[in-house]
Amino acid sequence: MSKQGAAYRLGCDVGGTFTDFVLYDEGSGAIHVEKCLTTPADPSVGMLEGLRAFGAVDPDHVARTGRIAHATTLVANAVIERKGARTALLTTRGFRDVLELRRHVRVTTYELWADPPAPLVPRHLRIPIDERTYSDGTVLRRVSREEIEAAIALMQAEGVGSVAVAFLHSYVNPDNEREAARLLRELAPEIAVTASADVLPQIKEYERTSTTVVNAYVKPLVRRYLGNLDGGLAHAGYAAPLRVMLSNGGLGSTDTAADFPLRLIESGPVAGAIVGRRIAEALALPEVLSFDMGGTTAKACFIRDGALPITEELEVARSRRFTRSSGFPVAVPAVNMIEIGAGGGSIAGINEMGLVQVGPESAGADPGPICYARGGTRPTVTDADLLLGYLNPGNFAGGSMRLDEAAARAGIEEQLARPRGQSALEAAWTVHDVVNETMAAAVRMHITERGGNPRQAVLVAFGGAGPLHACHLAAKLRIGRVMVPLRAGVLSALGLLVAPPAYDIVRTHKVPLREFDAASTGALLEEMADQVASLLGRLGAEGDLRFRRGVDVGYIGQSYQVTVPLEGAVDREAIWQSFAALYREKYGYFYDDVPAEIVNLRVLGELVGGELALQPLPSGPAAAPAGARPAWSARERRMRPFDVFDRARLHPGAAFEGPAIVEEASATTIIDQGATVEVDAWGSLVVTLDLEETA
Amino acid sequence: MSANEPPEALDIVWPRLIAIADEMATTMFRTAFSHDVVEVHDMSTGLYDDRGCLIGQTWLGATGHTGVMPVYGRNLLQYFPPETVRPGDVFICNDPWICNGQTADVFITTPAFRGDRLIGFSINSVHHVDIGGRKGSGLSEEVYEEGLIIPPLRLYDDGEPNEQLFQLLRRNVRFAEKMIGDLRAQVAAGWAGSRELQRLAEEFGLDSLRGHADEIMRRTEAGMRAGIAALPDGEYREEMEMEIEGIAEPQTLALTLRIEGSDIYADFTGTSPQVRRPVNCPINYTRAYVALPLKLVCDPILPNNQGTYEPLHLSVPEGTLLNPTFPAACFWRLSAGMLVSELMFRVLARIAPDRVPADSGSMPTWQFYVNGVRPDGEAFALHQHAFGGMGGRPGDDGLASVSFPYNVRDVSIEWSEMETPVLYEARELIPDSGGAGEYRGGLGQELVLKAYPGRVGAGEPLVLSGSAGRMRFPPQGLLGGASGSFGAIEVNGEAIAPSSSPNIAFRAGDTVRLRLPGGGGHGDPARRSRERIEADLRAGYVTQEGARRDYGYE
Repeated sequence: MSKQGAAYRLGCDVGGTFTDFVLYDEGSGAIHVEKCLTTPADPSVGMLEGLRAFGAVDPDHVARTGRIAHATTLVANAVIERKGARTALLTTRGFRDVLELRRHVRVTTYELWADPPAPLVPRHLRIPIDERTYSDGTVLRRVSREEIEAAIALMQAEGVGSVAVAFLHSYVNPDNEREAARLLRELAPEIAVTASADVLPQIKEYERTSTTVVNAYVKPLVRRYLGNLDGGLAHAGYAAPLRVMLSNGGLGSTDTAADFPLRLIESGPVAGAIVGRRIAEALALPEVLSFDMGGTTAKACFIRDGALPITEELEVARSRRFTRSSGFPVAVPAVNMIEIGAGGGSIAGINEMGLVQVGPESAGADPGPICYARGGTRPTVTDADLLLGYLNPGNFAGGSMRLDEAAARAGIEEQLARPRGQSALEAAWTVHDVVNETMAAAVRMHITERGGNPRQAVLVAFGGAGPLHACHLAAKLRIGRVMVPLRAGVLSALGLLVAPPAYDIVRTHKVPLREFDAASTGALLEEMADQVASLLGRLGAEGDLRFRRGVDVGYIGQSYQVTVPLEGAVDREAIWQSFAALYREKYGYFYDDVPAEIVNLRVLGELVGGELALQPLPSGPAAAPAGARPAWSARERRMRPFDVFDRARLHPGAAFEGPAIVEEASATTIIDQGATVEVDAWGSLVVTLDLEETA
Repeated sequence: MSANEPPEALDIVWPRLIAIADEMATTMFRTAFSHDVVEVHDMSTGLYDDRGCLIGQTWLGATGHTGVMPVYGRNLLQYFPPETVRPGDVFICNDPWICNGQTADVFITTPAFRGDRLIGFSINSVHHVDIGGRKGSGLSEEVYEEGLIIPPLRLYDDGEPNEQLFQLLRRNVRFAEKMIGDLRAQVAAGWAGSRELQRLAEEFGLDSLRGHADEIMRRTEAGMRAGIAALPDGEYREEMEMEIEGIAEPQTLALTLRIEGSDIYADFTGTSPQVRRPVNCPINYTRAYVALPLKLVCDPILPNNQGTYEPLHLSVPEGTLLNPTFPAACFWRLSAGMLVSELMFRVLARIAPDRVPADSGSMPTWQFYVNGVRPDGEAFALHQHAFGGMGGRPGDDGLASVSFPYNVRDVSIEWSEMETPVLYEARELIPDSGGAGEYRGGLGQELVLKAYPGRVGAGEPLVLSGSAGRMRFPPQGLLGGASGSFGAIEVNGEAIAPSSSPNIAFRAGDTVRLRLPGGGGHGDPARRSRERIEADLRAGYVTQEGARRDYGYE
């Protein structure tokens, strides 16, 4: 490290098509953004190459970079494209087909040919072991060395590179699994081993087995990749250790990532939600809906009290996009986001119901919307937005690209308007409205699940298409306030720089509350905390280690639980009282006559300190429109003039009223008549909607 | 609005109706108590207009409920004419002849108003963990033995809970706190559905949903009719036999299906009379499983609503297995009811062999309870589902052990061992159980159950009771494909007599083995590719001996 000390934070997000880089100057607050094509064969090659571009910003940046955070879609893609290791599975005898039987459910109810993806481990590599543990932890049959030796012989003959061990009830007593894993490591060190109790010490054999197998499947690949990357960065002179973004929104060490690569499944998409959380925290907003709409998908995340919502119902490699139960469950904690096939490039057509449907099919960036004039022939959301006057054909992407409005109009006219007996404008509005409705339906469900109240929430919009759709979406959700941060179009990569190092463990410990024993529960929590601390310890001293402990409590027999945070000493009455309060808040009622039970214990460790500060901007002259153009008013249901503002000339303290359009190189914000806008100290647009009349 | 102009914002309203139903289902999954709702998804939710026409239904949930919901809305209005319905009312009903053919399925209805004008209803149905009676006995002779029968009643009257009815329920069911908990979850989901329906009406300024409802039903009906019209006109007859315990002769299910243009007439004349066993299938459930294969083959894409059912004309003689009269026992009506789907598939296979699988061992689902007591006398009940293999499909093998055409989940083994003292020794696929064919039938599965020593009371035995089938008449192959394996139940290695509603007592030390049938094969086994045979051998789906016998593979 140079004598000037660590001055930069570097973020690098390897996506399927592009790799995005962000360099943040801690001194000046300046943000530099770069982009290059991803090199799918070995993404570390493209990444190392792309980093050189920052030489132009500061030739000394390599030595002065103190943190490097990395997000990658590698893990999810390896499963989707089936590029993982040849993997075997050791199962309890009698239960060899857990992985294949799934939960016996089909992908869709009415289709005969909608099959789930084939299991990652074919049946001849699912090896039954004559062992058994009961639900109370009693070992009925132990693992024998001979059987493991025989399994190894089979695996070696088959060229297996990785093995998952998932035995019944190992979340209660992992002894048999541990013994099998120990023997495997001793006798066949060349085969990577994943034991289910280490990955997901939780009840439900299918979900745990599936999760363990996904981990085993990608383990050798991720280990190799991270090794190359680490070596490459060191070779290029970077001294800062590499951190990897995990699905839970925290950063992990490369060692943790190599042992538990399944924690990287949502590595890429979570960045946006982290930015939403940072804003919620900085502005003390109790409820935020972060909304990130790009070219192909939209993602949303409901953030309450500054905490990211966590789900354990993630699936990967779905055979039917956006359809539950069509992929492999990966039941580890991940940020609960909804992802929908709705973006600027989403294609609009008429479906079997005779209705306009938008997405999930997308024209992507190539050929893209009709108006890009790159060969796209089917109307997209962007084409509709252009017709509605929401996009400026001469000033798209900072003026780097001219949009062909006539072609977009012809496409919408011919493929949507004429068959439906509508005008092109009406059809364009229908497309815009339908894509918003699709997103609203998914968001409503997401908020319902968390018991949120949209009226108190602030919608924070980013992504290339987010600010354009944000206000109309908010009105559908009855959300009264919308915030559009500066550089909204490229903001999500910043999430890499603001995420704290964090790791969490969830473990099944099923006990009726009336039999709750503070000492034994406390001891288990302590054990889990030690495990988290040791995983975070790999990151070195970087901030204060803070724990959040919790217990999942539900009524006995009920399959869903609420997470009750534990503060101070673990106490039965306190747990019951918090459970009552949380349950009532979520569902509106509570039964004090029904016994409750603890199902899971949770420990989250976070290294806090060193948060990235948001820089306030100087104020400037009052807002003045740069011009006006006609656009569609949703409220008046007609084209009417909208004031057009240049985002670069809007300074803190500026205020104006809709109808207005705010143009920025990376995104356009649309504000209908009746709404008011203020620019806050950080340069964000804060829009207040007039909901009573639009409802 | 002109005749061919769609009603206001149909592009938004129709998907919203389905989304609201999905949201109701989600609310229910999160708040219900029993596994049948939360894990198994044995439920459904839907929205109706003020005439009781189903216009939006969740994509989640079980097919039996799916098929009954359209009938139920109209049934209800006969008991509660619209002018008597007030805001704050909640209706309950489980009468098998009005609802879903079984006392355990309870329907909750909540009206929705705009101002003081009734605009529609939200309705949801749930399979309850207990409803009293003989714990789902396979030996019931009358519906009176199958628990409480609740006619259409007000569970809430003008916003006030009907405490007397709640007391009656609580006193009549086992695991009352779970049952009442699920009922409360249903009421909460019902309120959520009605509230969203009201908001929708306000957002679009609708005083009535009928305009939208008519268009939704019209388009859906047109979709079904187009699918039916594409099938050639004609009349087809199929029969199948089912085994019923205690009756020596197999009983007949008979179907004559006539296609005339875009209408379908299903006539079950020739079906055996109702029996004094719980396998009689009340007509609502019969209708559901006539309609389901039709939808799968003719129009799998459009959402389910009232319009789906318009082209279907059903005729089932009263007093038969498929239209029994009160008070026939019917708790395990799916044993006969799902075979109705199989009959439909067999007919459709003759009409459109390129689109229909061979017989499936997954019809019927083997749904069962294991009831017993712990050493301290406390009762426990395991409710589990097991599934046979799907039939071979034109172009591909059948899926192994799958919930088809029903679409529910099992209960996790770990969870059920945690909750009850039933110990599983195996749940695994059975090699060679899939019928041979160019496209092999999906494999059946074997479940091996025991009582965990020391965890059950010494006095009373455990009782396994449920639906089953194909123990005497295995799933047939199609177009030269071979039959799938027989279903079988063994206690300590000895097979029980073929039954559609087994009722088996066992004790600690005994082993109960359920062998679910494999699907029938599709096409001549001689045409099966070498690659598929070798892949099957490698995976162990087929044994060496099986490959030699069925495919002549050495």
